[in-house]
Amino acid sequence: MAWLRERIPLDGDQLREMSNEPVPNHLKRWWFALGGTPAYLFIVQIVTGILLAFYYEPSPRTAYGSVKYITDTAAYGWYFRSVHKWGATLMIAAVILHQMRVFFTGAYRKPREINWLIGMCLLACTLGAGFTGYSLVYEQLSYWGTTVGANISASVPVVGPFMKAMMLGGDTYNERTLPRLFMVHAAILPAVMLGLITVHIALIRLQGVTEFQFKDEPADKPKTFPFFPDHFYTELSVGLVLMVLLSALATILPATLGPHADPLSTPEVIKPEWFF
Amino acid sequence: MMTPDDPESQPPPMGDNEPSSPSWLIGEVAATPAHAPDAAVEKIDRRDFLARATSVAMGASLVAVYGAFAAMAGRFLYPARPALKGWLYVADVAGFKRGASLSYTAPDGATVAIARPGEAGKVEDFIALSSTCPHLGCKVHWEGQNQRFFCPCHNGAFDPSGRAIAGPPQEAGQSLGKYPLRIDGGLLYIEVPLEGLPGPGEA
Ligand code: HEM
Ligand code: FES
Repeated sequence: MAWLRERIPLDGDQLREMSNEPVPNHLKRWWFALGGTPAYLFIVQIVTGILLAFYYEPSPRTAYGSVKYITDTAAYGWYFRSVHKWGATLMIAAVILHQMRVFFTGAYRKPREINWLIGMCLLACTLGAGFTGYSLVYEQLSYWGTTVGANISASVPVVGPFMKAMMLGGDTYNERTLPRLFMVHAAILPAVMLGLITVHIALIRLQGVTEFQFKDEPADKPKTFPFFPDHFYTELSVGLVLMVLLSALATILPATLGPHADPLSTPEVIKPEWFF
Repeated sequence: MMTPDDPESQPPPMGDNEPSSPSWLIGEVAATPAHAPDAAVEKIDRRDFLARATSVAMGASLVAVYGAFAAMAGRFLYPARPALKGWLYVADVAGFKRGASLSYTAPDGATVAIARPGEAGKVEDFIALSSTCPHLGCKVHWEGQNQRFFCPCHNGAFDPSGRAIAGPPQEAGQSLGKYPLRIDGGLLYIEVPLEGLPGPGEA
């Protein structure tokens, strides 16, 4: 301990000072903890995503086979793939719910407009990660979903064709499309989101959370409670509950694998993921 | 992990009626007003006990959930199984004369030197040498003029029976690995890995 202390000049009091942001009482109400949920799920996505990337091979000839290997052969591969998929689903839902609570409580008003915009960018990035992630599986719907998505971007005036070419790495879906989508999915979007989340949280700490007084609370009650250990423990428990929920969903409804992509025939039923 | 009863982790009291242990965990007990002085002492004890119990429960769940996750991740990352192997046909025993040798290419691209030093026509009369150097795994090749296998990495050399005669493999007393052979109905078979990385010519 002393050895570490000498090299990292931080003591318990300073740590407490740094982490002990007083948390407004209303955060004891669960719907205000919705902001912490996407953050936790983001970490789950990073961890499971890195695990999947150990076996995933981004090229049209190998992608589907490698996802099949993850699903059928690798030990617990089905579990990590399913948690990654359910993590994405819950994350998109949590971001939208978080945004709805901010909207309906008017917490986006001055001086928090910038954070509202950052939140919007985070939603866009999350949807982008969901879209590119699903493309990686290279099953029929991945392929046609990507193709249709690229053509929708192409219909944007002026920049559309440029966007489509950037997305596909060519005029149409080709050999170099999957590696590109993989880099966007596994490196660029996570890095951008990490930056946005950092600024998002920094702004929250600078401005404080919008405080609310609820009718059923005595007015003289202290308005805040300490971040540590109270709120920290809440977040730990939320994390545990989410992990158990993800594992249950992954076991009951594991991620499936449709037929291999066929660029020569469009499936009869083609619908995007629920969030689009 | 810090626990609430760990003195290091106690927050400074925030307000007069701010409970110092996580009130949401033990909300009911903490909120119960104490009626008699001795009851209050008992309450503190119970509160203490409950706080301790919840921390233990929390610690146990954390270890169980994330421990299980980490164990599964470890199993996931460890290679699933050894490479698939199978018996493949090499040659007709009758046509493989004593003293003859051939170079066999396994499905994984590895070259195998197969020779027949013995006469009898039993499995023991055949030998199938791996081209992987036992020193650090480079590929050896046959040098006809020197009647030896040569490894370019550290100048290792092996006689036709696979025994090291020069370089680090000799110092370590190593030999070239042998593949299992089998004779079945007058035909020679070899057991080799069925998958591997293709060379530049294949794919
Ligand atoms: C940031 C939030 C992320 C979201 C919302 C997300 C979402 C998704 C989705 C929806 C899929 C398709 C799942 C399926 O149908 O199997 C997927 C696949 C994949 N993701 Fe992510 N992902 C995220 C982060 C990451 C990261 C950080 C990595 C790697 C470092 C990663 C690596 C992968 C890989 C390799 C696949 C393909 C394998 C598979 O589908 O099982 N992801 N992702
Ligand atoms: S690897 Fe062959 S001699 Fe070192």
